[in-house]
Amino acid sequence: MPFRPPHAPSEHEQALRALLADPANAQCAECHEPGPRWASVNLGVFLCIQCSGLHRGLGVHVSQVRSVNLDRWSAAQVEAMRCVGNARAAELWEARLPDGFRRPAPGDLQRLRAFIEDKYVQRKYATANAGRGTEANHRAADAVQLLGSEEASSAKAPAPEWSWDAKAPSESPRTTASAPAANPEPSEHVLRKQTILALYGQSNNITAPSTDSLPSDRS
Amino acid sequence: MGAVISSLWDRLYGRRAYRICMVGLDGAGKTTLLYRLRLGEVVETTPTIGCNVETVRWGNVQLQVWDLSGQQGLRASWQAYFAGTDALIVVADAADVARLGELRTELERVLQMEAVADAVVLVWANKQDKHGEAVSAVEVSERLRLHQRKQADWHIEPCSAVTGDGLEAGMRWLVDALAARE
Repeated sequence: MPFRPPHAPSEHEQALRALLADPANAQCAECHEPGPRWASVNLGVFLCIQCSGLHRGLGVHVSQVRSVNLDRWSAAQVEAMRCVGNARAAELWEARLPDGFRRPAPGDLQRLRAFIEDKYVQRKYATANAGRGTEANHRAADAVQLLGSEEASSAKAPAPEWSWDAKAPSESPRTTASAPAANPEPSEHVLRKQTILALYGQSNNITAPSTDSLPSDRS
Repeated sequence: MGAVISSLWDRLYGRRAYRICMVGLDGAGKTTLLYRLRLGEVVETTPTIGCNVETVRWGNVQLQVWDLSGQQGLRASWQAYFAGTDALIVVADAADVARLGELRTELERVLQMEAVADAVVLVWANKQDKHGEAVSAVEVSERLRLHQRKQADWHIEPCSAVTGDGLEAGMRWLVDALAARE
């Protein structure tokens, strides 16, 4: 049976395709094969079909795999992909890749399987303050569902400046009523992004890296 | 004469070839199960686009097993494979409780189709090897509301495609149910 897309590209699919145009997302988060069309919605990474198969093998408590064009996505899931993505995920999960680390090649399933398990289950390369995997039962994708009802008013807004150092909204200092214009509240979009990232951190039991622990692997 | 012998043979030993469709959500383990049954080993799988089909021998019985894609956008194509199917194998990821409701919806849609009205239904509550994550077959059955099914011939079996536990028990039930239906 010839393959036909089951539906015209939805709004979400178009948004995801726009995200895939980002150079970091244009290659699989694990093997760096170009042109990923799959994703882990709770880890926020785009994957090739082979690595998506390996992710599925870890179980949904570690990774929840969806196809960019064969599955329906919620607005919150798309937003989570926008907030995390391959570049930021690498900062978290590959912060401590050893010097001279050789990434398994696309199709080298045995080594990729070991790498992916080391990366997300053993947390071997994760930013130093990451917890162990066993506690990370909460699901980021479920958590961001909470945000799904507040529709992404910001979907078309340009990406605001932010960093991993941005505090979660609950910790952000309240602006006092006396200083309204001089120090404006962060936009709704920024708050939303911070909330999603805070939930991502909680759900995956991982904390943001400091800016000096950027990934060394640039292969 | 040949027809008489053939029919006699069928009477004695049951019909020996059956068509089976295997359905379930994406990532439930259908393809892993198929190749575990076919080859007796665990293979690395990728998401199925379209279907896989293999002939599985079980005793003197031949089962032609169609492993259909579980991806949401491809589930609508399932019914194209249902014509003349003798049995449905439904694979549930017992470690993904959050999506058992979605599976129930798909199952309700599938089981009211005329093409599978007479099919026997085996539900495998897969991934029992994921200790601490997987729920029991009883809980899967309740969440899928299997007891509300009007088709009489169904059975649920806990299993792990990875360890092989529960596969033989499920297959034995399936083959017996198919033979009993003749």
